[in-house]
Amino acid sequence: MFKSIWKFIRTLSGDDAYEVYLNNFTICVNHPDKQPLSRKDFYHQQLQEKWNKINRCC
Amino acid sequence: MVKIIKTKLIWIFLSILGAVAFSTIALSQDESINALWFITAAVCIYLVAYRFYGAWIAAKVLVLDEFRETPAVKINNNRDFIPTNKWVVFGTHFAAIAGPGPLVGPTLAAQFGYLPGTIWILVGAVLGGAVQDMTILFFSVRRNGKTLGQMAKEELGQLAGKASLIATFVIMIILISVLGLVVVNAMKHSPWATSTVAATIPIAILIGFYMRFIRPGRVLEATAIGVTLLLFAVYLGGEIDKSETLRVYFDHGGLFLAWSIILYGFAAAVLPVWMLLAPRDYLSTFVKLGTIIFLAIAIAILQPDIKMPAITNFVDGSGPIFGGSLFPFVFITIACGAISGFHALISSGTTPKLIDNEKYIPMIGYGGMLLESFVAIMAMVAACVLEPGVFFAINSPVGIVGSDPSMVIQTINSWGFPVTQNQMDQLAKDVGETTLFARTGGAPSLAVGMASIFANAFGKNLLAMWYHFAIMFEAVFILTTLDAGTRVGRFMLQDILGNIHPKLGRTSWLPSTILTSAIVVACWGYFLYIGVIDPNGGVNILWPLFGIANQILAAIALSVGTAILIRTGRIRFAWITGMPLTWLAIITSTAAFQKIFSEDVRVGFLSAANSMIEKVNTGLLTEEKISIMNQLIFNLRFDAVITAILTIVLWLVIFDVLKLLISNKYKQFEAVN
Repeated sequence: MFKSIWKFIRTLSGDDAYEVYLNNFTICVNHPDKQPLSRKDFYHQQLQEKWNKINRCC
Repeated sequence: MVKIIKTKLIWIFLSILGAVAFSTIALSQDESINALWFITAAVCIYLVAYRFYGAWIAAKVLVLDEFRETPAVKINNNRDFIPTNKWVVFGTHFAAIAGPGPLVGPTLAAQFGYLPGTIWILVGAVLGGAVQDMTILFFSVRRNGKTLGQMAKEELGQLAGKASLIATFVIMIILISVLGLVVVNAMKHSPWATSTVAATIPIAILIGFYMRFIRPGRVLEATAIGVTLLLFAVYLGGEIDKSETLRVYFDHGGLFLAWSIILYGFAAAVLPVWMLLAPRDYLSTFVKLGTIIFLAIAIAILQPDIKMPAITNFVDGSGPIFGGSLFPFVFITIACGAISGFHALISSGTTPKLIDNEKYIPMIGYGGMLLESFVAIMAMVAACVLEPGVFFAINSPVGIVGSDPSMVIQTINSWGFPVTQNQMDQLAKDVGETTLFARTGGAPSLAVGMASIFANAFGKNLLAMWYHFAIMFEAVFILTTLDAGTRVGRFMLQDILGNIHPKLGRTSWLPSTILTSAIVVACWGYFLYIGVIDPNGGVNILWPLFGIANQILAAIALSVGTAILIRTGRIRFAWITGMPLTWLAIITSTAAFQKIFSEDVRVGFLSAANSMIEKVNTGLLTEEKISIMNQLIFNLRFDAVITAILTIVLWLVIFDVLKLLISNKYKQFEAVN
């Protein structure tokens, strides 16, 4: 019960975004020549992606 | 069978409860009314509307298809198109649409009494705002996440595409300046508020470094540290306020604070996002969510009484907070919370790229808007639990009631709202301020309302802490909107300048970044500066301008929605967007006409400019006053031009929709023959 609430909070806040990314990467890309981004690079790329468009309003 | 009857009974019960609660609010003859009725009416109306109107539109008009691949699933590039958990999409969508707007608008509109604003928030959201958000979201999902501008161009033509761009840019500039003004007014000569708000900047930068280099992407732990530091900053602000030597560093007038915010806005737009913007946004999102939940719980426990009358005499247009009569200005003042064109920008282009199944569109589009509307209802409650006399004493600008406290009290008493000077002095002392008179902009009175609800529910002796916590809470996400808005304005400008010189269009080229950021900051900085020097408080001019711009953008979005419904053979359902569109066209045009041409100097831009010219020509004013007057005169005429351009643009778009409607009718007629 507690575990699933904690998991929900992590998902909702984006705390587990990197894990989700890695998971997606292994399922979707799955190519020996391609390496997933590091945690640091992923966070940086995620921020760039998020803030180069309108995502806050009144 | 039993289950079906049970669900039916529950919905019948909810409908009746909602109707009872709503009529209690609307027909109350008592001196005061329990705030719980507002919450009950709102929640029941939202549930019934979501279950019946929202679901009906989704099933019959839009015809959602849960087996159809969404762009997120189809394109899935692990960058911007990412199939995402529906709750995460709901969370990011809500965090994006709900800013300070739904808190400020209802607070200002409370000058008409609680009833007009409340009805508009409920009806406007259910029939207008939520419909707009959901239909635009759906149409963008079906068009691979196209933006509103692109859809407008494709469905209605070049002009509509350009119109939505212009409206977006104008509304962004006005929004940032009016929000900047709200923060300035909350910090003016308040060392506690100023030092607390100032402390949020190094805290955000600290968290930025933490999340970038020490523990990358650990959102929850970084936010926990940040929120703790923010709470400590509120406490520290109180200590600074008590210290005679320290408080002078944070005791500033409006003009100084305005310049500080302008400089800050420029820095925030030029610095990399990870350093200031992103960490500040995490903090503000969490603080916002926490405070709103807290407020809902506090209202439910405490069940405070609403002291504001249902309708005040100011419906005739003589209100102190902003000039203009109930119709159309209540509908202009409350944009966010009822219907907000800005949401269409989030519902297209941003959110559609994340949704992994069409069946979640009602929850995210319609439901997200209902939640924002609920925030607006709570802001209305927080404003109306104050004694009306106190409410007006805080919110009336010097230009209306004068600066002498005894005069202010006398004026407000003459309106029929009892308040005494002792009461105001005591309240100011309790919240840790020197004075609360003429703290316009809505933030301080909302903070007093929230603080008194919190203090009554969770500890009375902490009123000053709660007040400054509330100010910090409002400032934190107003500044986030300011940062993000400046950046978006910069991108839009770089996009346009890229046509002149390709290098200027590159967002990573530093000279272009600096140039375009400076232009955007100068644009809103100008309006902020004028707002600060205006003796009527600036809000009187800027907020209606923002409301008109936002509602015109909503009307453009609804035009796009209506056009798509007509083009896709759903003309008999075109009223779902056509009805709110008609209403917005009426109210924005009426408001724009009055703002430009009204004889009342507190409403009409041109008559206000003329009356100032007369004052200047008397020759009785000092050199300094004349210089201020001249700036105000220019600004009033400038505002009139902006309003006129926006209104003309809107009608050109509406004519495009009408043309489509007529040619479509003609086609059907041909088809029959």
